[in-house]
Amino acid sequence: MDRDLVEQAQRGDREAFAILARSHGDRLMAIAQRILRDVGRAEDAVQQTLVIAWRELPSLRDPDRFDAWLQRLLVNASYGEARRSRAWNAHIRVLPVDGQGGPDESLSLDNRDRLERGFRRLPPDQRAMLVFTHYLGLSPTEIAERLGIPVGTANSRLHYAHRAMRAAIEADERTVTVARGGSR
Amino acid sequence: MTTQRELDRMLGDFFLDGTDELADRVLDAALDQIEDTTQRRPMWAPRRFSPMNLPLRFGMAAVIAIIAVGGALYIFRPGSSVGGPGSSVPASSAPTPAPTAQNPLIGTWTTGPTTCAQQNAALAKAGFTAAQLQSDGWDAATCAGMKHGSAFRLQFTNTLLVFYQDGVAGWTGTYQAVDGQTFKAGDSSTLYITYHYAIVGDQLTIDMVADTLPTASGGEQLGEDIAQTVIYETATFTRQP
Repeated sequence: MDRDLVEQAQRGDREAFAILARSHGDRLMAIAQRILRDVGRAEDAVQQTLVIAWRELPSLRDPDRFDAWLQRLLVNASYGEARRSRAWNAHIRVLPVDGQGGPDESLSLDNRDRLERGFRRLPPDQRAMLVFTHYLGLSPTEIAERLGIPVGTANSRLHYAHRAMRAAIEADERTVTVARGGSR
Repeated sequence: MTTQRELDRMLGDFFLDGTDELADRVLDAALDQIEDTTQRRPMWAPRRFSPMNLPLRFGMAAVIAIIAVGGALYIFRPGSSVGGPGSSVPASSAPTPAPTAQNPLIGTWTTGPTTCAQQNAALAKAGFTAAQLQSDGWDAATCAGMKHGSAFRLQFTNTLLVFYQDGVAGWTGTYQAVDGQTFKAGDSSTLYITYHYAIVGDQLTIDMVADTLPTASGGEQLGEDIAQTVIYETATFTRQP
């Protein structure tokens, strides 16, 4: 179904594109919000992505790759949003994120807070790698293809992202341990 | 020490939370914006992938076969200096042929001075509409005061691409030859602009076919596309010694 709609939209059919936008919008929003950790910026990134997708759609050579192509545009738009607000990600007071399903019970508040802070310190390209890996469940090879980067680059970004997240968690654990030890 | 398995589980749980719904007002805003947005027709579309009819296919195949057979006969002809018995020149002193595997783009390429009429023709050929050009402030009478220059020069090294507009360096970036008719360029580690090219003798023609790094606004992208077209597609480049 998507293929037909994509081909119609490529020929300038705005109604077809509106259907595509409605069916892909939620997923785009979910990805952008997880990369950017900010609903407003994620909405901006999605809106920008949809407009660019409409404008550039005739240059998409394989309509079956629309979903992957759209996600690549979204990641680029998210990078742009992140660049415009570089200062926002550091020294920020982390508030609980209200999702539709509410906070996951299996992750303690301490760990959630550590992950949130660690994640916000990551550069956007490493954030995208983590979201595509742990949220979308894609392999580095699939991500590389989707984002148009070499597989080695995808592996490297994922490696550094994991290392940074692990370091963030463990540094926080040490801080907590020292703080608790000092208060005795 | 956090194991990879623990980290994977924590991150999996971490990403379960979050917004999973796009607000209607955002979707509506995007669709409203699209109402006023013209689709960009790819410059390659009308010029490439035109289906060959059957007689033309056979003709092309025949020409290729003739060239291949003729080349083989020439190389292995009796008396050929390539190791042939009739060779009077010692092999060691024979001139070394130029390496054919080298990137053919490397070098300096220039156009002569181009006219405003040529630049307008290139933009029309690439598919820009009058409305698009007008929205970018391009007036056809003066080519916006020839703001992109008149004479263009490209310098390709192994990895760098520099272009000059009327002798002034306008842009320096990196590039990579993808195959015999495609190269990609960009001004960061991402090579986001794709060009098709053809070299015939000492003549180079270039066609920008895709720009996959969206810029912040549609206006910026349009201006970028117009500039790219004027610089790369107005005239054929000639290799300089």
